[in-house]
Amino acid sequence: MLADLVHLSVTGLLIGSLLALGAVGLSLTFGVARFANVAHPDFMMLGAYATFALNVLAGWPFGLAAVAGVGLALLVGVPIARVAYDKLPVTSTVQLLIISIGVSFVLRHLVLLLFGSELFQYAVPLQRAKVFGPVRLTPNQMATILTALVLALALHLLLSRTKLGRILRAMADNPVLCQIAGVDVERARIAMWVIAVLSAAVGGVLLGLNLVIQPNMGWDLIIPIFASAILGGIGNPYGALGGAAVIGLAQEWSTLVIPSVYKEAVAFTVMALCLLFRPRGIWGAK
Amino acid sequence: MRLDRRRFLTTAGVGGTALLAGNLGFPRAAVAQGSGPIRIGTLSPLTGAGSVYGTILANTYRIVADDINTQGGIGGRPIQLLVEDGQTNPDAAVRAAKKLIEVDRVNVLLGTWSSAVTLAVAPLTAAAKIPHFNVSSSSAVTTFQDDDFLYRTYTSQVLVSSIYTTAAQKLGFKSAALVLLNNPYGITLGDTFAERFQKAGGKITGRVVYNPNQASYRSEVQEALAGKPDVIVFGGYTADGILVFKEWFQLGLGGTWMGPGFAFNQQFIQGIGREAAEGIIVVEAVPTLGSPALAHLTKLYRAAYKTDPEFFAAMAYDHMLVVSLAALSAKSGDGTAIRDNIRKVSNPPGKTVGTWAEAAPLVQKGEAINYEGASGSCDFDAAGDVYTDFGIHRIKSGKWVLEQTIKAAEIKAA
Repeated sequence: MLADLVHLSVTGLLIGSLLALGAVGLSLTFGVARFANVAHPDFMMLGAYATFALNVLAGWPFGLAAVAGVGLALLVGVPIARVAYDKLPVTSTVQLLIISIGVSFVLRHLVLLLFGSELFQYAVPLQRAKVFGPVRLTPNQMATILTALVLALALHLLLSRTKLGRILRAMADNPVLCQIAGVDVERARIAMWVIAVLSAAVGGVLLGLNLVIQPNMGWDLIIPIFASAILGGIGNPYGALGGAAVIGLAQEWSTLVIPSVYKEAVAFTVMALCLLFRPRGIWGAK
Repeated sequence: MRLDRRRFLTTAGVGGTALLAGNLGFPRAAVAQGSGPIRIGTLSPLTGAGSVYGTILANTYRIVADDINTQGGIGGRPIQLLVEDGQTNPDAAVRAAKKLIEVDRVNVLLGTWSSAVTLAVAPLTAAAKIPHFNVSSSSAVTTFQDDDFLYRTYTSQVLVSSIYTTAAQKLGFKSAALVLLNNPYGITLGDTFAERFQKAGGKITGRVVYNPNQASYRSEVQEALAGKPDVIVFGGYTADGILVFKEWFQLGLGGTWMGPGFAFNQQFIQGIGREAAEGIIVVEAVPTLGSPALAHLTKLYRAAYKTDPEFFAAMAYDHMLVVSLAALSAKSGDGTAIRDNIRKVSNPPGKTVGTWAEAAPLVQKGEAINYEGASGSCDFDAAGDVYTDFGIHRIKSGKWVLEQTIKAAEIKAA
């Protein structure tokens, strides 16, 4: 029983890590740009496909392909985000939401056009888990959890210790005031999209490593990723990490008592209950 | 106005094709029966979990329709394909089916895959009175009240589970765990297998139903294998199969997997790697080796796609041939008339045929034919179901190796 609990906790944290890699960037853009970017999980897919193209089609070693793939995703993703979200003459955030749904469709169908609907894997052999008592984890899975933690920590440091971080936080609080105070809002938004696409692309590379590379890989996880961001207090990037961990753990622990087919419903029930008592999310402001 | 332009364009396109065929010296039918093209709608999934098979179906429909058109079409009327994407999603498929039926006014509809999609679309095709050919396997497709408009070339899941039981016994497995996708196909397969396997003295050590599109399947796999079964019976598709299998392999748990070929296909093997796939047992319908239909399809398929056709291509070939021959026999594109001629051309008695070149002249002369297809005999029973041969394969160095064949006659007798 205890062994089961430990094992499920590790699985929950692994799921939480994968969700967090998407939720962190989503939460940041919501905080600063003030709209829910539905296409955010598709930036993850972009990172996975860029890495796949370099790793499998071009034959680069995986590590190199992953780094270059994230770079490639930035080159594609950031201009798209800039044009679609910053340059179009929109008057409300609802329009941005609808535009982001459009961006999501365009991205997925672009990939469908280039790569087809086949399921892909990186040229990385399957690994056997290392056994530590009741815990079984493959090196890739350990790397996934570690990356999520490092990424969240880096983002935390960036937001709390740097000038850019101060600007981003100020923009989240009051964009008009920022502009009046002479902050270069345009540059800050570019920086925000770079961070968002970067974190998503890194997440996508790991998602591809843990799951399977297909055009809907990001879209399929959109609900749990949004749930993580909301539970963490939307607009609060490191809260998203906690939110993702809660979602992951809740659904895995629930399998001890009820069939696993219902575990997603359990995760959302937990989310609903949490929000009932803390409407701004567990780590939300006030 | 727009509709008129559209109709004009389609007519112009089809006319052009027919003209081209004429100029190239292909036989043009002397008497055109009815008028205009026979409109065949295809609704195979080009995206989603079924996209692998849906694309094969759509590709095959295309080359077979072209083959028939270059031979003069159906009694002079060319086949016009109207291709929609079923998206492996009942909602999307119903929308696409409505468009095909109401806007395009198709005469037949081919290629729904996944029982959930087929069962969602079947009420529409039955109401519109057009024959509907599918490649689904749920038993609900058999019992569905379709006014005899619903046909399939894939064996019913009820039979498949008895074939699995036969396979498990032949391979000496005493205990089994079930890992099932949460949809009608997965659950029917698992539960009917469990019933038969237990009746035959086997033991079910675990049963796990999982949802698609999850970030992890670790807890599912662990739960299923807690009882240390000899064989793990899998009822799912390729995309989710790769994920579930990956978790199983990484966790380093024992047991042998047994599942359908449309899940454990080349893409699956590629996805998990040859080493990990070694030894998986694949129970799947096999094309009728040595049949003239398969030989002709192989020729067409190799010319177009440089590979050999698999079972889904064989089924698509059979769909196109059966409906085209039925329309030719009916001298009409009317759905009900086609339906009334399906068994006339596909079932005995009559001369055994497997290609359009062979069958069409006989049908035009009014002679009885019995179409024997690439996927099986295509002898539809009262429910529109068929029996086909099955093979027990084992994956060795990345390829299915056929170990034993279970003939259609054996399955019928069991």
